[in-house]
Amino acid sequence: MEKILELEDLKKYYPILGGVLRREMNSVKAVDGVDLDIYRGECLGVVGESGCGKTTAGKTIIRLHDPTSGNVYFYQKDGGAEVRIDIGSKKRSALKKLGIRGKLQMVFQDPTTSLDPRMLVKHIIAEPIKEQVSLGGRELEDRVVELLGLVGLTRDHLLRYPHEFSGGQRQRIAVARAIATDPEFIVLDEPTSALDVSVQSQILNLLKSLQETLNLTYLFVTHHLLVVKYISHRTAVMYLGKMVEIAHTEDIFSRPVHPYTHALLSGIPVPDVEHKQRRIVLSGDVPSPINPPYGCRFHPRCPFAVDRCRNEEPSLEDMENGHKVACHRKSEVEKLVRKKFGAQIQ
Amino acid sequence: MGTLLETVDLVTNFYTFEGVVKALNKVSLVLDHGSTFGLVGESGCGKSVTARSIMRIVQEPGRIEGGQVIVYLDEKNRQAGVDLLQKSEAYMEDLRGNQISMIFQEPNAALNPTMSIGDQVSESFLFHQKKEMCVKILEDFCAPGCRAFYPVKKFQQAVYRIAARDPEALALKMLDRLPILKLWRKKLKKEAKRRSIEIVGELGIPYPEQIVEQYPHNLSGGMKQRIVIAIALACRPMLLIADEATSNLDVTIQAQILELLRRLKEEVISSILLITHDLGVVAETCDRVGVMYAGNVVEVADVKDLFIKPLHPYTKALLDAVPKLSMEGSLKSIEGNVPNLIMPPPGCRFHPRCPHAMEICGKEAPDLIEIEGNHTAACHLF
Repeated sequence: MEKILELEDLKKYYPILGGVLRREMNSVKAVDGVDLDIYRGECLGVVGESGCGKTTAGKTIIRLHDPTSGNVYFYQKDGGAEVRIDIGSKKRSALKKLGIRGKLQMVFQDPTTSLDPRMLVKHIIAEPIKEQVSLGGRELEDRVVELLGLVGLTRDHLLRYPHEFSGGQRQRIAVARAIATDPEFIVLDEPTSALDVSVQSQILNLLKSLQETLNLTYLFVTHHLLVVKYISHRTAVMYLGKMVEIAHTEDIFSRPVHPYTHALLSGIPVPDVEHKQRRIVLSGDVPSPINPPYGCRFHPRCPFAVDRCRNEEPSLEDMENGHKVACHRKSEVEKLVRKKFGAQIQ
Repeated sequence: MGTLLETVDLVTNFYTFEGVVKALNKVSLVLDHGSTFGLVGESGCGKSVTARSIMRIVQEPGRIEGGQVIVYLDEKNRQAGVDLLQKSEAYMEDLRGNQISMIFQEPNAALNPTMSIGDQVSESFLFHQKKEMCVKILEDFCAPGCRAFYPVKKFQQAVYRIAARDPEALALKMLDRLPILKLWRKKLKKEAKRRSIEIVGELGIPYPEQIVEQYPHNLSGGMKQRIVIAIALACRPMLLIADEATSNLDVTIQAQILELLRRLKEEVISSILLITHDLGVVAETCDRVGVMYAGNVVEVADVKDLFIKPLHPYTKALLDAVPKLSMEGSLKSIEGNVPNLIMPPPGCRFHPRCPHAMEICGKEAPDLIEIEGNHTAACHLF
């Protein structure tokens, strides 16, 4: 498989200013060293608790934020050849000139706030097209109607304002806006968490069919594990600014390795009455990303922490066939979980 | 098991500028002693309004227009049912937080940012258990080990003797007007704080003595939700209404809170009414489930029956629309949107989205009928 994006030790720190001179006193380490390859045509799910840096990672990848350090490489198809471009360090105007801006798009969490209430649907969707190419009025409208058709809306909706739509329809408009520039890569930041169950499945199915027809690559950021299981091919689990486990989705759900992944999976309330399991309840909360714990970041909450976890930070290592885990005790976790909590999922 | 709470044909309307929103359309539910009842549905289907109508805290411009909310506080005595809608506001004030209490969705909005945690928890003790606390303090004063300056002790004893008899006595109100003498309340507040430390500690919060001195912004989301639960449980209610208590929390924190609720149900409270949109939470914690759609209860069943053999087409569609662990193939979705409750569809409110809609569905609203033992549904198919 060919790569579309490659992250190398990506870091994003938000400064905390303080004192009389507003100096930088400390920083929130939202994303702290992420290495990740994203392949063309896949859907990569990123899961984790709130405040673990999922959204920041997504925004930094498409350069809505400038990374503090590290590189983001984008493989641009230029005719037949592929060109590797570091989008983390290029100027924004240069990115636009190269046509990369339009290739990377984003859908935000809450469609009520991400759509301008004073713009007509027509103008909302036409805005990104106008930035990229100059089209005549009629051609532009035809293009907008075509996009609306792709997301399941019609010409009747052109001259309406966002408040006239329901939540699901608003999210459809946001998706139409994101695919308006023929993107190759879309970051979906919790696109369904503000929606109802019945509407959520409509949007998920829409996203899935769009991915097939338009050959898109998704980064699906969410905290809802069952949604990830449904839509994504590979899943990355994030904890406090670091990736702790990356694997194919089936592997994550059937053979999780990292203790945090075990806890996350056992914590999902499953809508199935026959499904009974022992729940691993983690003690405490996610530590502050201002001063992350020394060593393995998960060790204060990990039931299996040993001395080595407190002193040494584990690196993300490949176990087999793309299943990467950052844990010192990765070979014995399975046994430990079984011993302490009984049989696990499936 | 006896019935604890029963709503009969509850109707609540909201009078807005756009028209009358018929939020509840004859909602009838039965809640047993010692059970956990789950109420599920999409947003805007009237789950929260049901809970608020039971507590009689429907906000303006809403009005409860009809029906009954009958509470049987005494498990043995079936005749002692009380219709809450006929009672005075003073009665309700006494009942809320004492016999029935409620946890709200957003812990940030439920807690007062300008009051310390200890003050907020002790508020409910000071409101509902004044008398018990006065009796307790009086006992402490009369105990032989009590060491206090003699005249002060005598005075305090006298004051608390009056308070133990009637906390709202006129003499106490007059004392409160006098600068130094109103300090008699200090002892009461101290006792309330002691009790709040106790209850906060009981909910598994480490260092309760330090936590009660802090303010809501010092705590994390899961902690705040625990404090809200502590306030609700302060007076050991019979019924706890949890309105989306876990939906804003992370998976691992949600697991902690659900575990806590389960433990509390065994030890402290008798029944829980759990309102949620997450079918997973319902499957794991509830005994009985009611499904709501557009202001109507469409199906009520035991948890097992509902998940294995759903009867109403809406319940079926809802269960198919949720991603599951053991799932292959694509998700089914319910076409269309939740109807506008100002102009609800005539007849069965689900019929425009229903795959089995018949002619009669557009004309006549179906009644909730018992189909199998303890499994009721409102649909013309049966």
